[in-house]
Amino acid sequence: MMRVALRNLAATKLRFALTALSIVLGVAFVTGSFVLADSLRASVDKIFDDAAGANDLVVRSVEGPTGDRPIFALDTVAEVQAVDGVSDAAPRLEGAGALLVDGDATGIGISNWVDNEALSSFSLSEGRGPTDADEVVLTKTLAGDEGLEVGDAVALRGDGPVRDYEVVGLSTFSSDADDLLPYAFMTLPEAQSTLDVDGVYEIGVALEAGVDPDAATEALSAELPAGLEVVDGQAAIAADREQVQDTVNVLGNALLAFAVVAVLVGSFIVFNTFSITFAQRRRQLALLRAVGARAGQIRRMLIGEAMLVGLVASVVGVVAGLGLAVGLEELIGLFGDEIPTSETVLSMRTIIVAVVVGMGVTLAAATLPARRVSKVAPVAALRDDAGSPRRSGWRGTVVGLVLAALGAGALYAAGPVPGARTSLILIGAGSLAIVGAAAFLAPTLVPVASRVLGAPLRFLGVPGQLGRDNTAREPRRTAATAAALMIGLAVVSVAAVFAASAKETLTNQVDSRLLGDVIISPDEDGFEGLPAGVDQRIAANPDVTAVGVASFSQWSDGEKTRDLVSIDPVAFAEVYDAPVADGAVTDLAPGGVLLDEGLADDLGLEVGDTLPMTTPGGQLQARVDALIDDQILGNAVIHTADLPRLDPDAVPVFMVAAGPEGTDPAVLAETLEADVGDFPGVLVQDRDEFVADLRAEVDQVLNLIYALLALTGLIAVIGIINTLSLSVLERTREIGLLRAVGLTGRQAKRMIRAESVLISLIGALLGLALGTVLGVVISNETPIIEVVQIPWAQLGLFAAIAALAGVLAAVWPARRAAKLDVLRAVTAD
Amino acid sequence: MSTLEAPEAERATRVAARARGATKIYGGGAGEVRALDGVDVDFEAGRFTAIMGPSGSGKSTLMHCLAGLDVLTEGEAWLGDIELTGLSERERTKVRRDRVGFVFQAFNLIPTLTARENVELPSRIARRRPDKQWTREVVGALGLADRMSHRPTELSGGQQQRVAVARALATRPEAIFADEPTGALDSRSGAALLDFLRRAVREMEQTVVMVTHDPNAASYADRVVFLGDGRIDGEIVGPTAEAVLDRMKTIGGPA
Repeated sequence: MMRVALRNLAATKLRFALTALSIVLGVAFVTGSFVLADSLRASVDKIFDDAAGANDLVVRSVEGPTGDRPIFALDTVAEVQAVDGVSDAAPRLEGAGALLVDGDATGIGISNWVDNEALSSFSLSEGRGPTDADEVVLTKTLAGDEGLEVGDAVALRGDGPVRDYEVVGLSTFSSDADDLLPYAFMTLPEAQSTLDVDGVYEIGVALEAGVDPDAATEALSAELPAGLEVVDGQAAIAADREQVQDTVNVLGNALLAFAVVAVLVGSFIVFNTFSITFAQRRRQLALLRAVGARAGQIRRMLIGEAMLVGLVASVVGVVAGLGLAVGLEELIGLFGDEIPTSETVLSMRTIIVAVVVGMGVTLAAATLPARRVSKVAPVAALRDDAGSPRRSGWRGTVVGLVLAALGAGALYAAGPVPGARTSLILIGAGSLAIVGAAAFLAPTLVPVASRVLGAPLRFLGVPGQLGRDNTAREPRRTAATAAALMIGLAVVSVAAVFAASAKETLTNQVDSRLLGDVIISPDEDGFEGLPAGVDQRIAANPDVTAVGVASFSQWSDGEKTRDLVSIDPVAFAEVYDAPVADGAVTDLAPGGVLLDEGLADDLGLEVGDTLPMTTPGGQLQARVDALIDDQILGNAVIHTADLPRLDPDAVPVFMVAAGPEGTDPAVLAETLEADVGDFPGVLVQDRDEFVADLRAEVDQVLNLIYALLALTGLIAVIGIINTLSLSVLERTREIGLLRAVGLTGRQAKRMIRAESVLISLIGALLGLALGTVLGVVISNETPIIEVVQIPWAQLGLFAAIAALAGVLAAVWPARRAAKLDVLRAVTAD
Repeated sequence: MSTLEAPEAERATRVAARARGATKIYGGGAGEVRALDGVDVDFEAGRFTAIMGPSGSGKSTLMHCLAGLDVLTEGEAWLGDIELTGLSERERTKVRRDRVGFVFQAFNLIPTLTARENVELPSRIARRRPDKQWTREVVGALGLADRMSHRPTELSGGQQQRVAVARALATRPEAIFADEPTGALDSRSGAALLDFLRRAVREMEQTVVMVTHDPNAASYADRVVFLGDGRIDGEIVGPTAEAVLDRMKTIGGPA
């Protein structure tokens, strides 16, 4: 029987290719996600291994209460060097800075140059290390990107004003990833001065040959002052490595989620193709039955055939996935941060998972159709009953209704609970159940949908009417084809509605809360805060009547570290009207805290109670002065007056300036921009620009989601092409008859096109409706979304794109229908 | 070329379809097959003509070429005053739509359309208003008046063929070409259908050209043209089944 299966595949190359294609794409997406994440992980590991390998041991301060490590005295270096077994020790200092070229700031790291290969991951590729205060070494890729060479003059900024330097050398990282690490290295005193740090962050230690690291660690620990610890090179970077790997994992999982959608959509297509192709072979199969094949043999033959398709498609998919990984990397680079991969990792796990997914989907999709058709009666070989009407699948309808009820129940039960895990799970499960329900109910919905949506096709005359009737003819087939598109568009429209609601919420919040005219914040290039002096400069402008400054720091309640904002309440209240649940922002006095309403609830606190807070500078028994509810201010707000004691290193990150009544924000922004022009990395925006920026950030994520879903759309379109070409093949005689009685080739094309567009629209509109409803529900149940908005224009555009996709999907099947040999079609028996 | 008996002469003056030197060659070189080999024949308007011949005699090919479904390799095929040989596929499609009626052996109807929609199909394809009164007359004569809102699967085989005849008549074509129209029917339904085809010619002044290999079916025609090996091999006017059967026995060609 297997030989028959092989012959069949060879005989129907086209169907084979179309079926395989949707599996290939799904498998490729899964493979690509794994490969990209694995490659990133490998690159990150390599970088960290190289960095860790540079030190035998590292001396650093013990972690503070909010997770940071305080700087310590430079003198310690000498103490470390004096310990037995230590061959050399190098202090290390690091901070954020900017390289200024033609007025453009590029975020870089500033560090001190360590002229000892045993203690640094960087080595000189050109020139020499810095010896004078005005000399720097740049990483080679950074210099290349900025068009700088040894001998050029550059301007750099750390925590203070801009300074001029001369490039005296270029360095490379030991693994080829120095584009990930754009650095400028200076002499130690100059780095301390530029970064405004009076001490060091850590000391790298190289041991003499043959010294036992454990013994050396013990010896060092004994000598060091309290508050310092000794760890090996790997341990020193473990936390950073974990953090980066976590980011990579999140990215990898997000990609996988999109891959799963693609596979799911693909499985509908595969199921549909098998259903149609198996059914079209009824007579052949009945003949096999007539000559003695048992139903089980037929079923095994068909499934064997399908598995072969699945295997070949999976293997092709894995190879295609390697290419897709590169594409995905480019895509993410286009929308977000550049991600460097130095190698491509195709692990055995990836191959196994991809092939299991590909073959699993194929097996699942082929089983039911194979079972159904294997029961064909031998006598069917002699009958011509291709057009036998299908029973309506009442079982599917029941399953669909049950799923819909469960889904609705889950969504209702989820309710708007802030951040609750069960709530998220319920929303997720509920949404899935609803989408599943729609897929099961689709065959029941299709005839209605095609009658309603297809009504305008009447004006296209006979071709339009026939096209419409054809969609309602095999509701299950049309439904499965449309369901693929439906799922894709449901996900798209959930994202669209959620993003539109998020944007509208942001806009509303800024509009209603922001009283000031101009917002000053660090630009995106790696700055953690505004340079010192910007606030004075802004306040000094005669057109500015009020300035509110928010500085960011961190605090801990003993378990969890949270962001801490500090403001001068009176000044800040003049430029920003934060919503208050109890009290007023101006109730905040030194020694007090404005607490988020939700957090206060969790902690069981009310106004007047005391909250013990651990800050980088020490403990604070904070008096709760008021309860607030605002995304920008966040969890806890303290008075600026407490800042020098609690966190002297806190930096201002957000400033709002207001002019007198009737000020044009754009004009004020322009003057202020000129005022702080010599501070690089400062972004001055009027209200509109600020809002536009916030919206653009949401859009960027949204566009990335759209791009990732495009592949799913492609699979759905392939599904339409597939179904239509199989239908054309199946209706050869019918189309031939139509042509015989006078349907022109052009009209035949129009008929197929009408069917295609209608299928697309049914899928698209079901998906859009479903996605919009789910999007509204999810937005409603997300606490931070205050305004739910439906982006009608965008949804309309999706419907139009779907219709266009329908036209394109019809091109090839329509051409086949038009080119059909009329004579053979009407005389074939 | 044909001589007619007096009673029918007055209504058989015009020629509905005509072949002149009609030659159809399939394949080429050694495998060349001459399906038609210089056929000259006229089919008069207002008459019921049967084309008979053994399998492979070229009778279906002749019909296809006269109906605009196929194109001659050489010679001329006229439908009324239109010469079909030089026409493009698109023009031939229009000719079929407006001037030809078809009745095939099986699968005559579009399954998604009702009987009425099937009958009106050619007019609707042409975006013309069907002639309601004429359609009603035809449908009534065929005894289909109460079946018109049914779909083909709800009709018996005989009813389906009658709907096909109604469709063929609906546009008052130059000629109706019927290809073994009773081939898939039981003898009673077949007889009824043939009877109606004859009535359509006699009472409604339509023209029918029918391909068949059944002498009994041929006996319903006014005239039978015999084809053998792609050539005209005589004819019988006013045939009986016996006469046709006798004649068939003498025709050569691959049986």
